[in-house]
Amino acid sequence: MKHRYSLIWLLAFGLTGCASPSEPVAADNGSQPASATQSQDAANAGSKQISAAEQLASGKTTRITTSQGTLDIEPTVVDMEPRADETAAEGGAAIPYADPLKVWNRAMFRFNHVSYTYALIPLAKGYEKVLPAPVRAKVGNAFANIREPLNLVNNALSGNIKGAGANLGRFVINSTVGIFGLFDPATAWFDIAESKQSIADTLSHYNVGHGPYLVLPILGQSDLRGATSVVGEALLHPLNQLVDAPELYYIQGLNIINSFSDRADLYQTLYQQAEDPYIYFRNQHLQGVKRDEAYVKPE
Amino acid sequence: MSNQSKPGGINQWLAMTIVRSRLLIIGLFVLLIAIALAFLNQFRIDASAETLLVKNNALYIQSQLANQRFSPDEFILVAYKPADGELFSAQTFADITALSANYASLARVSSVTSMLTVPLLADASAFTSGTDVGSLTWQQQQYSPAQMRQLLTDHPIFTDLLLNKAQTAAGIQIVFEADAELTELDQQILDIQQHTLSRELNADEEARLKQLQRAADPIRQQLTKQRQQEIEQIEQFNQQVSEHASTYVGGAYVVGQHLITMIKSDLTTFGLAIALIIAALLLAIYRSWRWVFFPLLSCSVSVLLTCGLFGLLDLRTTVISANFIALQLILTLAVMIHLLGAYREIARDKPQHSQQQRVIGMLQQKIAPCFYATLTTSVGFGSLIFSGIQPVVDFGFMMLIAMLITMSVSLLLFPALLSLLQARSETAEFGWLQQGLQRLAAMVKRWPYPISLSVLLLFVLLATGISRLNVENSFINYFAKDTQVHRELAFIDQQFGGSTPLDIVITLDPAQAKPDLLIAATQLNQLHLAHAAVNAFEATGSVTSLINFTTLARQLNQDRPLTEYELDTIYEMLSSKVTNQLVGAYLADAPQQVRIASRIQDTTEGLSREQLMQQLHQDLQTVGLAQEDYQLTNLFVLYQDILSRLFDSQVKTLGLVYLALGLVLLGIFRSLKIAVIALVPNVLTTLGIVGFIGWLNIPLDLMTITIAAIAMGIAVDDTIHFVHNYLLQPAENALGATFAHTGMAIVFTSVIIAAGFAVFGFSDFLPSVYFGILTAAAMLMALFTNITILPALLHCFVQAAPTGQQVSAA
Repeated sequence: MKHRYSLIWLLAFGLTGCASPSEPVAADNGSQPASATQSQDAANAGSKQISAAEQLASGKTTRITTSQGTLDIEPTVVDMEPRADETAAEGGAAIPYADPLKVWNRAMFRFNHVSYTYALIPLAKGYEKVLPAPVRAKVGNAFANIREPLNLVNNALSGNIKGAGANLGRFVINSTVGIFGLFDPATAWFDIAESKQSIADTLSHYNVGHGPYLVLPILGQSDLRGATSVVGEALLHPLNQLVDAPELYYIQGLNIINSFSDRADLYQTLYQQAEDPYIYFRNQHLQGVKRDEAYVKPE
Repeated sequence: MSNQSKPGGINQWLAMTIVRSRLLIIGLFVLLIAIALAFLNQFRIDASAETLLVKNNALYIQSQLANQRFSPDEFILVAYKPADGELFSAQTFADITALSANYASLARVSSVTSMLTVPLLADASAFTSGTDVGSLTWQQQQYSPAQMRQLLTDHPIFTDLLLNKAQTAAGIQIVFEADAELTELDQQILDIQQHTLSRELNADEEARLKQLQRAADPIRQQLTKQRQQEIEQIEQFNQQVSEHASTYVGGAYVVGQHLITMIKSDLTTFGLAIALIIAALLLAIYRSWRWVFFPLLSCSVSVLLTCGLFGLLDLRTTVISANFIALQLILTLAVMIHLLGAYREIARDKPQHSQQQRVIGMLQQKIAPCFYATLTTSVGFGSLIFSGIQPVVDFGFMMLIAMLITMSVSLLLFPALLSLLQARSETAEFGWLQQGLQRLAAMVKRWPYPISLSVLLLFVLLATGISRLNVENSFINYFAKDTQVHRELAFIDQQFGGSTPLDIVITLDPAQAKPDLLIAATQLNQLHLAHAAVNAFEATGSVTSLINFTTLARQLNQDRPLTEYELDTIYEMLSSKVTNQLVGAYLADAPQQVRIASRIQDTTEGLSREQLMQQLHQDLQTVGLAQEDYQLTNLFVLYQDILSRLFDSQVKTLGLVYLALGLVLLGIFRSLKIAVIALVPNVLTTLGIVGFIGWLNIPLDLMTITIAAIAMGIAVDDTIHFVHNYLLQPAENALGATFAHTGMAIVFTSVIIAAGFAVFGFSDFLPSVYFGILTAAAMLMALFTNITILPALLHCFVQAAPTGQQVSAA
């Protein structure tokens, strides 16, 4: 028990390093349009003028003027990379992601790949064979339901009372009417949408950055904040209160396999087509995180 | 003719020879007719939109290359518009299902797409969750009408394609399988042709190209026939839902097929109508059956020989040249009338002459002017060869051949036949017309300058319309507004995203590419900017590119953009069949290129195509594309290229025609003064008709551009006959005698030609309508100038015969 808490402290310590906004992209933009004036300011500011296409790629709504008038264009695909002139304002050029934990990450990525290939994927495939898709969906529902209290605490901590209310309502309804969460009448009948909130989301709410990219064993790509969240939730998960080891580990294993089974094919396809799968999965993760930060989920 | 003081040796010899060897000539023509009949079935009409294009230029080859790279499907779009206005209903779904099943039964159809068969997603999870995206269709899920409405409202991909924005009509896309053999041949043809972008072809390549074309040709013709049947069948299928819905059939080549149908029916309908009108007029003028039968016989022999020769030479009739039959009928007839005029005059003046003497007399008098007249008409058409616009060039070439045939038929066969007839006494010409012409002659004699000046002024005023000429036109506008075809095409044009395809092919900056990724975000956003710029135009109907897919993805992803890696993931997860179907037509590799496919709405009010092209170039550069990064291709660009050259081409052909005819007139009359005077009425007529086109606001197009040159070629005949005759008359009453002698023939030919062409006014095919009406107007203008300003100028500046200076060439 003791080393569990020391691990948390270690992670928490690491996180303090993330608290400062080290990632410029995550900044303000969000879905507010970066108007023409903004882009013109950027142009006037000197350095290299970023093109409208690059501006879009950074996730900013962009205004162009053609013979037919002024058009506001919202990006549909982004890479969320910091552009030269933005960093120039802070006195540095755009640099590729540094990846401070690269040695660990690459090793862990290889380990994961072997584990996936020889253990998890065969397991997941077998699991898929045994349980038909509707049943797997029910299992997914049950796991989602059992973490509702965790969502509730996190929503409450980040001041999202409405979300917390939804969590409470869903938990009560789905645990009873929905038979231990196997079904989801809260969505179907009461129209209460999911409001998932993890420790990582809560940390993000308090401006804790995501920290360096980190590949977790089995769970795959994440970052320091995500890792904290995973470990923290593993400890705080309501399942802990309901079940003891070793059953707990079986159930958590089932959770992993259940959620992995959907993505086994995806993983294999992507791994095979990528030139450097490590980079591919890393960038995909990082861009997704930045995008999610910039585009706050609609409430 | 009494005043035939010097019976020019060569003319007399020719006349005698023709009459003497009449049986030989007739035998020869019988043989020729037999040969022509044998080749008649090889005579073909090729009226596809393709034939309106200039094929040997870089733009065309580039368009073909782009087509090959992205190989978009050939399809017909059927719009289904429920009568009760409720698009999302069980009735609609049932009808579309039934229609689709019918369409699918056609042999060449590879798939039928409608809103019932496409996957409709509510959110992005479908892509990554392992669900079979292909199963999320109405067919498999049986979505309710309300759900369908929700899923399809403002759909980024299917709006304008499978349903219109107003949600009043559904589109059914019938996709056809390409003929594998033809595709292969086309590819080989293009492989050779693309060399012409950088160099000339060598002899080997030319030969190979010819061989390939020959191999491809029967397949293409078979395809045209099959398409025609398919359209008929589709229209038949549509009948079954006619009780609760209206249907509209459209799509790029449907227009072409309608053109073929229309031109074919025009050919027979108007060929016949013109023949009938000619017959009626001949009967009215000469009041004798033999003068109806023999001219018509000569006309038909001319047309028959020409068609046979075209079959032999494999010259195909296009939209533009389809009128050659009517033209040739009329032009042959004009020669007949001049010949008959002379014959009848001789018969009346010298009733004691035998038939052969009459024919010899007629030929002596008319063989030279008729020869020159057909020669000048040929020159008029021949000038089209230098227009630089392929379909017009072909037309000029075909008419040149037709005129040579007309010349030999009317100057050899017709007199040979004539000399076999019994000599009869001829009816008198119309007295009132004679009197009128004499009065006109007297007026011209009394006030030559005022008449010249006022005619000049009138035509200068008319010619100012030239500044109003425009070149806006489209295939849809080729059909009269009240026709079924126009209604259907216009509906598809307005409600289903336009008609004439315009593609933008963008070569992506390889420096921005990223390993592993289908397309990097910066590259895609460059495309997005271009897409938005294209879409911003009012006249661009449907605009499709990868952006439609990413816009949908953003919508499904709770209004958050995808990352470039997520986009790649989705691409990897879809089966290659699906991705090929979805994005194959918009993305190509090595060099990495993307395509924006748009269709221009031809019915857009006040559309200026030239301005559209200019602004499009400008906008694409504004959004960050360098000129060498993109290419505008496809039909719109090719057609616009032709239109933009029309004006220059009109000026060039007219200049050429003036020059050539000036030279011919100089050769005939051996006097610069007379040549210039003879040019005046013709120049006035052509400028007048072009100005008239401008005043009427009729767009200059491939068809109308030919009118001025044709009008000049025909009108100059009258001038030649008039001047030629004037120079032969005694000075004391030269004008009166010329009016009496040639005036009648000029009036008859002009009226017959004008009436013949005016028949085209009843066509549903607007280019034919314009062509007919305008040529008729040109003929009347030519008649007017030839009997006003021409005699006035002759009277003032040219001495007629008695000085002894008879024109020996005559």
